[in-house]
Amino acid sequence: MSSSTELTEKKVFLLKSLDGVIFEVEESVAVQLEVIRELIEGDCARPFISLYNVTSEILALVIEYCKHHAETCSGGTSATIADEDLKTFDNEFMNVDENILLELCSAADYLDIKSLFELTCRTLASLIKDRTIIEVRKMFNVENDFSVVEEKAVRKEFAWAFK
Amino acid sequence: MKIKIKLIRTAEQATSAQVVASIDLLTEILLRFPIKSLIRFKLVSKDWHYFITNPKFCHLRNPNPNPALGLLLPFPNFRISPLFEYVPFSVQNPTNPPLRKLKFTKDSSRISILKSCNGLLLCSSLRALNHNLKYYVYNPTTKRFTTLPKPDQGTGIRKKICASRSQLMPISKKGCIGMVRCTGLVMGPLSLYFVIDEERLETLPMPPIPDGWEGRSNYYIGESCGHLNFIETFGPQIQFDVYEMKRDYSEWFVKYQVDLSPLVSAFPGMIRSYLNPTNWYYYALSIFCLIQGERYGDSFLVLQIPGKAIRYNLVHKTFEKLHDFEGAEVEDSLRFSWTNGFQHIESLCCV
Repeated sequence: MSSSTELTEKKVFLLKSLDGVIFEVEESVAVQLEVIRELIEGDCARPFISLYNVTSEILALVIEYCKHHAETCSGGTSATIADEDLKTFDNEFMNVDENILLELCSAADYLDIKSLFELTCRTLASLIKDRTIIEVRKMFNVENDFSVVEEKAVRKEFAWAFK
Repeated sequence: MKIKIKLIRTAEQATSAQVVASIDLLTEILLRFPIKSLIRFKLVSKDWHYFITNPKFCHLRNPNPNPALGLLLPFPNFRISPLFEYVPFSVQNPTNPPLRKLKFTKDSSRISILKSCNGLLLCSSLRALNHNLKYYVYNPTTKRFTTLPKPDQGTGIRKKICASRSQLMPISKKGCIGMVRCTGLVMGPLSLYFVIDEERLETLPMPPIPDGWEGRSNYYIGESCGHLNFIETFGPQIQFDVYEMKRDYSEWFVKYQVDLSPLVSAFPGMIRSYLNPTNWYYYALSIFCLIQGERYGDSFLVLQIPGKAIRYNLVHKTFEKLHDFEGAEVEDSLRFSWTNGFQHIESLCCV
């Protein structure tokens, strides 16, 4: 980044994942994690900020996402090019295993990163929307507690949705 | 209600981390599903069924814009054969008819649709005498309905207005009932709108009447995705302007200009050649509705010509046949000459 030549030392923060891995991130990345933003801006950040709900595997991805977004937004390119670039990046970034996606979604929720949360929710929704009921039960580990008669009644009532 | 839904990794994954998603997280994902999927996923489990049917969830889902998917047209002989023909708005991905017949209540007299608004249908009994007339609001997506209080019970109606403020607005004035989205209401030739929040009527300005004409003519007025549109033809016109109302209700502006000459060339059967070209009925043509697309280029008119429904793109000025009406057609007649049809919009709105 262009600011690396500045004389003032750039602030870095240390984020500690659930499994104890420490990540060094710049302020522009850290402030995107709304959950710790206040802590950072209030200048009362401790040596390590522990993120208890996020594993290192997921945190690495989250940091990659925030870093790319921070760089693109401050890169001085025009808004439309930046937008296009972010779209391409987001699409590729979402090209991961479904369980990773769920964990990313959960992490984005916990860390309060709105854009990543929206992105993961949307991606998950479009992944799941056309699945069969059995597949959805399996994915969310839900047991079928409908009787045959009850299931038939629902299918009959909303026949158009099951065509 | 607090359900913990466990998202467990499959055994083959080494880390086998367990993600426990809160109901809030699941809600956020479900809110982004199409309504058809949501209805289907009611069968995942009883918890899911309860959750998707829950008014709180339905209310959250509602603000997400739901485009109109098709048009319900009451059969011309509706009093004898109370059926609806369905015209899906897409040729490539046609949607299933939401209903063929209205039979949600055991009301002995038959029921007809008066208005469609954001996925809800305002219906009334068809044959009952005035004092027995019942009004219903029916959601064909969720198959739920409510019976409205009688129009003369002013306070009752008012309560209903308040209860459903964000969904639809049934209002009653001197026996006429209309439904609108939050902003206003146009009552036919009166050109009034009702400011729901302040409960007062205001006059709606109207486009100018051309020289040589004395009053309002043959017009279409309709709402789509929060836009109010107005089309008026004076005489047998196939070139006309499409007006749109400004958000503040101050004036109409010309949004599109339409020239249907290419349509007439493609379907010469529209011309009643035995009539004088200045005759009002020279063209067998009517406007069913105007649908605002999600993007600018998607807005289209649904037109009726003999035996067919046509989709006319207002921006690209292209057209395609949407639908052939059921059964044989008398050569140059319009089967649905007295109705604009009722838009079908999927909605989870609780009634």
